[in-house]
Amino acid sequence: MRLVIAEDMALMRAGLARLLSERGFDVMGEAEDAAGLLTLVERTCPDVALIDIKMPPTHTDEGLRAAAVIREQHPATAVLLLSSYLDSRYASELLAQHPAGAGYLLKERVADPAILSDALRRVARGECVLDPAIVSRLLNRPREPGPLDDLTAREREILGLMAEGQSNRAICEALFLSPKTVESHVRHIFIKLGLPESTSSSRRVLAVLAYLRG
Amino acid sequence: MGVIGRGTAVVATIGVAGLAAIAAHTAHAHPDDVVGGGGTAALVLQIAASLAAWSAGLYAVARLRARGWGSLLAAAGVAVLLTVLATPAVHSSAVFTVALAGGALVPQLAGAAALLHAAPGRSANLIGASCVLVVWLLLGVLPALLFDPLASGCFACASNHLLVHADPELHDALLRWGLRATVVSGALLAGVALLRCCRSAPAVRAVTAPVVVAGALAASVGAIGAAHALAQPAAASDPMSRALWLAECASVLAMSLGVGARAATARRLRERVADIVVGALPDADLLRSTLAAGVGDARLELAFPRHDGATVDAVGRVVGPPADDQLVFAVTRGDRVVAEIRHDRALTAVPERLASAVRAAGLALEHAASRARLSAEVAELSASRIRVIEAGDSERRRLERDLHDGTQQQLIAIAIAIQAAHEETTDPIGQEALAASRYEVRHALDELRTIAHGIHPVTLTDAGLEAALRELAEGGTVPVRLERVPSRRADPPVEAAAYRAVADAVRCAEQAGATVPVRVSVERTDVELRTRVDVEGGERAAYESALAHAADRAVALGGQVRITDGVTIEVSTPCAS
Repeated sequence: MRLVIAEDMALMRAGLARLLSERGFDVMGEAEDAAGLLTLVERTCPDVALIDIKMPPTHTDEGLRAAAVIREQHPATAVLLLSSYLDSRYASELLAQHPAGAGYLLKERVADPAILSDALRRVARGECVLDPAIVSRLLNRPREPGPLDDLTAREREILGLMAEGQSNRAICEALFLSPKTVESHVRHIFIKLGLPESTSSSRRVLAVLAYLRG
Repeated sequence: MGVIGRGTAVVATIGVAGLAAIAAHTAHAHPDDVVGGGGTAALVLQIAASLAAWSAGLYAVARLRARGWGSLLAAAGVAVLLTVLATPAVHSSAVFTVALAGGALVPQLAGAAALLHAAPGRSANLIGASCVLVVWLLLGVLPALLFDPLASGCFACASNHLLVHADPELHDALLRWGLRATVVSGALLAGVALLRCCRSAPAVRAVTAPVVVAGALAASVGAIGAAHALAQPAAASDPMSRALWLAECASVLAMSLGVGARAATARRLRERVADIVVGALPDADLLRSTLAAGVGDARLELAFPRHDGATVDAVGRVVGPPADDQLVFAVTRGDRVVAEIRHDRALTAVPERLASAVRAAGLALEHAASRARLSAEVAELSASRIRVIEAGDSERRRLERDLHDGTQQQLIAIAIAIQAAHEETTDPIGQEALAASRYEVRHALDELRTIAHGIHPVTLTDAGLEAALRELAEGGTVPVRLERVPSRRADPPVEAAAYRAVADAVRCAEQAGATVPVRVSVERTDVELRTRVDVEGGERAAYESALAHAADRAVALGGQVRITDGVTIEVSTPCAS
């Protein structure tokens, strides 16, 4: 898989490139800011761009805006954003605009090659990815009594996986359940929460995310 | 006019003026037949005395609420005219009759007016009224009933309408008794009036003395005149009696002028008091516009020097130098410049206007200057407090950035290195050790994120209060219900003050083990950002101490934090709309 890396810290950039090359990724190039990234994508047309959300000059959301540009101008290139913040704001902004082929991970996941390469592969496939820590924080946040309390432990687990952007098949594999069982759980969850059912996993993420943030 | 109707006063005044015209005409045409003679100066004195006494009397009745001495003085003015008109030269029998019955009362009326002016009261009323009445009966009405001009040999006289029975002997006898009564009552009135005046309080005496002394003089001169007439074999108009009469008129005139002086003094006092009142309630805008209107320069400006040499306006804002076409008039106190009046260059042509306006506005200007300096200091103080808070905030932002961009990246690089080592090593013990290290680094990264967020919530600066409060609601252990939060941004310090208050309240609720949702609503009005937090769980005192820092922030911005039982926390911070 061909990818480019956008990260302003040289040390991190080098580490990431090495780690991902060793994992069989084809690192086409590295950029240290948003403009460089866009040129790089233009030139190499990679499958995925791995982007740090904070880059020069303002160190706020340059990466997020570059990702939106890439998804619009180069639909073949998926984006995976790395962020230091647990806050779900950027993630929901990104996924609301481009639910397919986009992902949002906490930056420290780069030290966990399994999660990182899995996420890169999934966004490249057109799925969407949301960091488990962010999902868990949303799922477990203190909230007033509501439909979420009616879910069984299993249904909650499945809801979390859906929020992370996992497909039914992936949920089956993760929980060792049959596709039929998972489908039935998913249907129950949507009925209990009063959400419109959607077959597309990326649309599903949006609905769940909106519900959990609400 | 209060005590008497305005219409009545006007009609009466026209009547008096008419009478004065007749008197002037008569005296001018028959100088030998009138008591004061026909000289212009004497005539002017008599007419002036009568009209002045009349006007002063009316003024006293209307404005000084002095019905007693006011009407007596007005009556004295009429009596002066009637005395002039009690002469065979008057052609109108009606005027002649009235003059016969009402003339010769000037000393008593003036004396009684002086007495009542010195010390109004029952005894003064009684003395005054009886003196006037006795002399009026003996010298006026009763002789008039007996006086037949023809029988007395006055062929030129007009007829007397009051004549009941002509009796020249009794008439002459009554007149002599009347003159005696005039002597006694004149002396009595003058004496008692002066005595009462001396006994009155100094502040009152200072005001009443001129009128009382002049009135007493009129009564005394009248008494002397009557004594002089008694000594004469017949009613003749000799130079002595003429001089005494004119002196009497002069006294009446002096009395009236005394009343006028009293009015003028009151007016001056009123102005002085008004100045003091204006000085005690100075409004810089009013002061400026008053001065501007007074000297006729609409662009006139007030400026006040501040302790550090800068110049400020009335509300303490630093102002620049005066315009090119303006000059500065420095208002000083000792050798210190209190205020600057920036005025049009053209005003130098009339320097006395500015000087007198400034003299009048002195106290108010000084007060405005003090207030301007105070406002400037308060503004400087609050600006400095805001700067302190902003400096703290920017330092926190820097710390947070350092943690994220430095420490966190280094930890992640270490984690990557550990991961690489873990993948390369085959030694099980080494792998276990590296796995433990990896766990420690992850833990450190989690802690670092929490600490960095506590130091400064990035979302607040990047995305505003609404996003930051949402983020706050996502973390923590107590539900937070955001009921209403405007998404429009406010000034960073204002947002930070509101956020800090809500965050501290939520943390305090968590520590108190609250389970009921914390309700947050933020409202933005034209002038302020109002944040309300309702919590259940925990004591009010706990929230008060938890929010002490948030309250400092709000106060520094000119707002406040109020905590009421329940517990409800209300934060208001001014913010431009």
